[in-house]
Amino acid sequence: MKIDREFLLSRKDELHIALKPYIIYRYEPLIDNGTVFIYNKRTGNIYTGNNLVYLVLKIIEEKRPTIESLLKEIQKVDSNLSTEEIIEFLIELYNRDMIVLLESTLN
Amino acid sequence: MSKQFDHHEIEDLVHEYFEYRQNMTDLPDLLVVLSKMGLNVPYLHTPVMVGLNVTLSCNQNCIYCFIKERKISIHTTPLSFEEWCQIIDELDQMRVLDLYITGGEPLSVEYLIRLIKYIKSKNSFIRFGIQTNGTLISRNIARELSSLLDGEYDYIQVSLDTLNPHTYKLLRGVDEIYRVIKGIEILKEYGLKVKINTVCTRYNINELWKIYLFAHKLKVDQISFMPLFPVKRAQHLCVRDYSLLLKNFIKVYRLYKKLELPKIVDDPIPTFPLAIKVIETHAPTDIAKKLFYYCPAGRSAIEIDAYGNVYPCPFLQVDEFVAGNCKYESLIDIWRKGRKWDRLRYGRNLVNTKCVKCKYFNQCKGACPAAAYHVYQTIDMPDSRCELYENR
Repeated sequence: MKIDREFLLSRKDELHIALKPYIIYRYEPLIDNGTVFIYNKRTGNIYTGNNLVYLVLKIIEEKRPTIESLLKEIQKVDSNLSTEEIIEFLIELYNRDMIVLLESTLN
Repeated sequence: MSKQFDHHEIEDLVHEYFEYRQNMTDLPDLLVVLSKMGLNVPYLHTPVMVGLNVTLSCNQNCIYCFIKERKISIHTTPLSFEEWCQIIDELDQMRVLDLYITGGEPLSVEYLIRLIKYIKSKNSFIRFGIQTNGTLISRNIARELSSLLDGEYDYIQVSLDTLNPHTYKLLRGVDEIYRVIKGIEILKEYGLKVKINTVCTRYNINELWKIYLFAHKLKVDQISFMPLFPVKRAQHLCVRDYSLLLKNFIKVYRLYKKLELPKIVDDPIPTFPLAIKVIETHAPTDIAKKLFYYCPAGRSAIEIDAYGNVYPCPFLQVDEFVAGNCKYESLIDIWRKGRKWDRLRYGRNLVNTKCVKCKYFNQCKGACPAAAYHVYQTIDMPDSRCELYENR
């Protein structure tokens, strides 16, 4: 399924976000002032990200939040981040096969 | 330097060796990336690779066994299945990626299959391995393992140092080579990924190629040729002529290039300090400059023994390097505090050695601390196998 900004915003209270089971991430605070390594076991692809990426992954993994609650939690930590930016980032995670969107009832 | 080879022959071998080095790795990419990143920091946030030494008992009596060199004051009882499970939970939370079970002989542990089931119920371990001498493999065990292990990365490592029953008995104290071969056949019958581990000694150096061909015939997936770790009882078995080691290894590499299976995943020439003399004499300077030594002990790897003691590496199982015990403290606290591991993490004190004057010092840093410890009883000395050091 292809998703876009409008779709996510229109269903931000209903859709929950979860990590795909084959995604593993590791955080290294001492490498480049904080680097998260994200590994896709299925493809072998590796991505790296900064502290914010780590925070997003951690919240998704621990809480399976709705898009709305994720936006709130992240903006609590970094108020400079706009909703647009976070939504774009979620689309990127989705397109890279790292997250899955779940209906509330299935969560 | 050996007199058996001329300069050009060794030069060719060195070039082929570096061709091999550039193409060989069995690690999932993430481990390679993290190992390289780990070079830049004293230690990673949590360990990447962990060995579980589930038992110290073994049904063999190997001449080079480093478990027999342990110097540990044990104040507790062995870990129970439940206690191991708690450790697995912690390792999973710590995002350890590479986990292996070793011993002693792990297949002699009554709850081993239950423990593997528990390990495989976790998501974070990208690679899981079992290191066995291969004598206790049965169809029942192979069947269970085949239903649990991941075909891509998980592996069973079987020790096979020779094809000669007489040499086998000399090295391992028992006459069981046929059981090992049968064990490997059974594992392959059940579609498991098998790695043969061959420790290179004076006894088998000339038959490495035969072992490779035999492994190919058995459809073994991977093979590693390891240098002999210089424990006291086995120092007389070390191959000191590194050009001979190189020549025999390249013979295997040429076979690999023709046959492609098994894949060679480790070689007996870990460069620093073993082969540097050969390389510096025969390889172009730019190759020697690119080499470096990285010791993962206490920086990205640990080993936990059957009593819960935590060590930086399998070869440093001595009181002086026990950082804590999992029965009394969380593993993450043991790792973060890293008691007794400062010199491993921040650098050994080699100022009073000849190493500091060596042109390779910044690349080598004294190489393997455990190989220094077993000979000099301190890690503040260079790797005892260093030819450059010996000759200064």
